Amino acid sequence: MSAATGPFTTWWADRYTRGLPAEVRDRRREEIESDVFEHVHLNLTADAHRTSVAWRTVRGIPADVSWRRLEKRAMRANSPEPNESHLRNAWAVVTQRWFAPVAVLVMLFDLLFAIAVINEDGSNSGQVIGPILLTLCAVAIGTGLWLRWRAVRVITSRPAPAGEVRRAVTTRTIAALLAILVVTLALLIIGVSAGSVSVFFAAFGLLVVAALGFGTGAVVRAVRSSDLADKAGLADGLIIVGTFPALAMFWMVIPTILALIVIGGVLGTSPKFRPAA
Amino acid sequence: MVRRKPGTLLPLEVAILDAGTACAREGDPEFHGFAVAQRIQERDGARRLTAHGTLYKALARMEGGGLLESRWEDPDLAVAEGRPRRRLYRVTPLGARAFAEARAADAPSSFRPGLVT
Repeated sequence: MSAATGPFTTWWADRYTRGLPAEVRDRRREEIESDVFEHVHLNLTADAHRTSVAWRTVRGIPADVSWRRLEKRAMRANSPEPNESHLRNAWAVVTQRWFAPVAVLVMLFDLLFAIAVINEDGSNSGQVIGPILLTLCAVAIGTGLWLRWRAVRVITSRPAPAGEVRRAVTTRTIAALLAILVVTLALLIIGVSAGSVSVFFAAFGLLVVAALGFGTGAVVRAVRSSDLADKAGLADGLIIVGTFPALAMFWMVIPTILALIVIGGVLGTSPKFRPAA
Repeated sequence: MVRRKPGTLLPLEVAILDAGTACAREGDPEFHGFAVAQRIQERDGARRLTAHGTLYKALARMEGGGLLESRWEDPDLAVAEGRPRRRLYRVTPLGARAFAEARAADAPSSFRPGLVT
């Protein structure tokens, strides 16, 4: 839509037509664009246009929402994919989320760790950056769990193409993550046992680079794509990144074990498409 | 939201058919969304134009019900006039009959577009 449509009207039309069949979506967007173009070319002042167009949009929001609901219903009814039962979907979600309570524990660990760093004696830059990073890790786990919950519900009801079970996260990604984790853990153990700060920081650097590489790619894919499989990949990435602080504290044993359980759960239970009939 | 009795037209639908048949009487049977909103506003002396969502939902519903038919106008014409292309609607014979029946049954005279969301 052109800028003349008005930012609010454009934004709203994009929102409520998102996810609808391309033909339906484009038709509504183009009709609104044309309507607003005619409207703003009436002999009114610029402010009057903006207010009037925005107000017309606002007053129509309930009808837009209702129209979208009807279109979604029609879309589902016309879909060749069979509708899954709620029970089957719920079972699939539960079996693919067994690690969620453990992930919540790791999230709590991140938050408690952040509080502990804040309360530490002394003042250094780590006391500011550390809690922020730890809190972000906790947020990453929470967001990842939430995204996964949503993605799994849809993905498990979708048949895999060509009769094969397709993973939302590729085997290559899983292998790369495992390799990075093994190397990082090895570096951490070597760094701590040898008392070498540089090796210790190299391990953290590797974690940061891996997190940035994996995270950025997953975020870009998830934002650009409308495929829920990509959202599931992002969710898995966020959860894994959120466990890094617990992994780094390997001498505390239990948080690290919990983190490894979560990572194993995430990698081992990536949302799977239902085998095609 | 207004609930309709089966087989009856909503006030906004009557207004759209009224505007569409008026266009046809004036020699151009096709109309676009904003034009019909303007006509309804003038007809009812309303202060505001019908909301986007209300109008286009009604147009889509009426088209689905066979009261209207629509097509995209020639894109070259839109380009020549420097504006987005319009979706052009036309009242079908079924729509004209439904409108005539609604008029005969004395459709609600207190129509105000803002009432229908």
